[in-house]
Amino acid sequence: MARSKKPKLAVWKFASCDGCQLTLLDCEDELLPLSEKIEIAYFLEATRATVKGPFDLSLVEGSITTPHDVERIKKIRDESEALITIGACATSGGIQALRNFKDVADFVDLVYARPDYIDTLETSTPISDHVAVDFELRGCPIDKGQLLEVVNAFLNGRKPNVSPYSVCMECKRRGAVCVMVAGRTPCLGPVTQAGCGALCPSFARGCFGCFGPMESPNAGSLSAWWLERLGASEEDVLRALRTFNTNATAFREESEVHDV
Amino acid sequence: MMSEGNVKNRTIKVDALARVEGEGALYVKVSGGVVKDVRLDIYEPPRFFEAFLRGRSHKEPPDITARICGICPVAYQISSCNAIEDACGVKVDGQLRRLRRLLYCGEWIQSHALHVYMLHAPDFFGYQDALQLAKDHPEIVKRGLELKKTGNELMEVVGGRAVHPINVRVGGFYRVPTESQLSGLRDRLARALEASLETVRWVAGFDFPDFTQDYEFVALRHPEEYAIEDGILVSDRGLSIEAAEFESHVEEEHVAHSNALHARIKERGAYFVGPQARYSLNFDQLSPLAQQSARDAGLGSSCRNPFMSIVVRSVELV
Repeated sequence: MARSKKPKLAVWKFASCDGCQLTLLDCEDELLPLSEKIEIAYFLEATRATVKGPFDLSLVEGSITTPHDVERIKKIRDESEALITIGACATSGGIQALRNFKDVADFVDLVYARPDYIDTLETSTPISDHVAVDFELRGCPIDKGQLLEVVNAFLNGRKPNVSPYSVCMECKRRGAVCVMVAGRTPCLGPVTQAGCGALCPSFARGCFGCFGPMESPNAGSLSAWWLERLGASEEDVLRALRTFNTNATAFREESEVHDV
Repeated sequence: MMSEGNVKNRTIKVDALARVEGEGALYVKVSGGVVKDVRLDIYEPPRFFEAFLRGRSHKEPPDITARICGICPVAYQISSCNAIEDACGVKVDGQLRRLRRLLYCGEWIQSHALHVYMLHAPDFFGYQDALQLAKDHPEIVKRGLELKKTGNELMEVVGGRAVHPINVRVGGFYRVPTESQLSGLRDRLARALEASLETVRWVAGFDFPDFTQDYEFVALRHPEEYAIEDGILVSDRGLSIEAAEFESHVEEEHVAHSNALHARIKERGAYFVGPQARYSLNFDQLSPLAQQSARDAGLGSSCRNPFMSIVVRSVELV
């Protein structure tokens, strides 16, 4: 077979739920045109065809939680011209990083009858703790439009247009009523990066932080607001910061203030 | 895939199964023409959901458990709501219950369409994937993608987004969709119904090996409708229990080669779940149109050929 000139895309999975790579398959209108422009060289969820590296672009889903995966990500980095992490697991460690605050042996005991069969690390860490990452796409799950933008940008050698500001900006832009001011509902929107389109506030619920901390968030100020003005408890603040991006620096550090 | 030896004596090893939801490896040992050993190794790293639900608020499990799987988050959201509501003695009924079922139907449409067109069908043609299938049969793949998109749109209207919906809460929803949002989906759903009938006709024409097994089918059953999100657990060998009695009747074993636990009915052993079990136990409750499409596809009221799961799954789309 003649060697393809199209850029080679690979999609890799580590500890994760498959939702972010599914977002690529959820591009129902764009998938077939996209496949004409790029060669899908490795994407197990979609194809059994596997083309050898090197790859022009690797999309990585999931966090590092096993000794085997520590080695696997290094090999993938070596074979990839550009490496982009997709989603909260790959970018911050994901929900499974809740183990980082506990003894993972207790978790293993609780879930598995034979802990000796389980090979796992004490922590769940983002890809960037192990190898150099060219771009981190946020979200639990990622946004389809942002994914297409990032792939497009990398294949055309330009910077992705993904904004680092907060969910509040999106709320204002879509004219959603502030759930904190109007409804006294605790919301992580002021410290969470935009990308979802202010989804939760538009459904009359507080943001719960799927996209992780915005650029330079003031999490301490928000916690104080929750505690003093919304009647939230220390535990409420702690739990809100400890979900899908619990290991992202700003959320982790602020959560430790409330872990009493 | 690695295969060693001749047809009568060989070992088949697939280190990473493609086009499946999740991660797995397969090992099959054949000796003297007889399969001696089969191991499905689910090497997906452990994530410990059961452990980190401890100490959380009763309002959090729908959002947390959704992250078990991005392809079927609603299954976990509704199951966790059911469990907490049951514990609290709360019954979600009427329109809220119908709305939940509608959201779940959205997930079924997107997940079934994904499975039928993008994961399973390429195998029957010898294609590597649906993109190759699309080169030779673009209209077929476009039909599948349209069906999938309709499921996603239904999830977006009711749940807020297709992967990890944000609108499900214990007791109901954060915000119910407006009538105009729902009626805006009517035409698309009507087209999707046509597409699903075409899907059944398409997959019914595939070549299937003549192979049936004597499984014990286990599925939910509900007195009034084809069970999706609510009901009791039944089997074709007499099991009939509430979900809360699961651990009294089913034991889960941890085997060395897999991170997924092996479940077996205590008195009898392994059992079979999924579309074929649901279909075979609840055929009488499928819509008349779905029943007719199944008959036209040559199916009886039960199907024990695992290769034909694609036909049964397509009937569930109807």
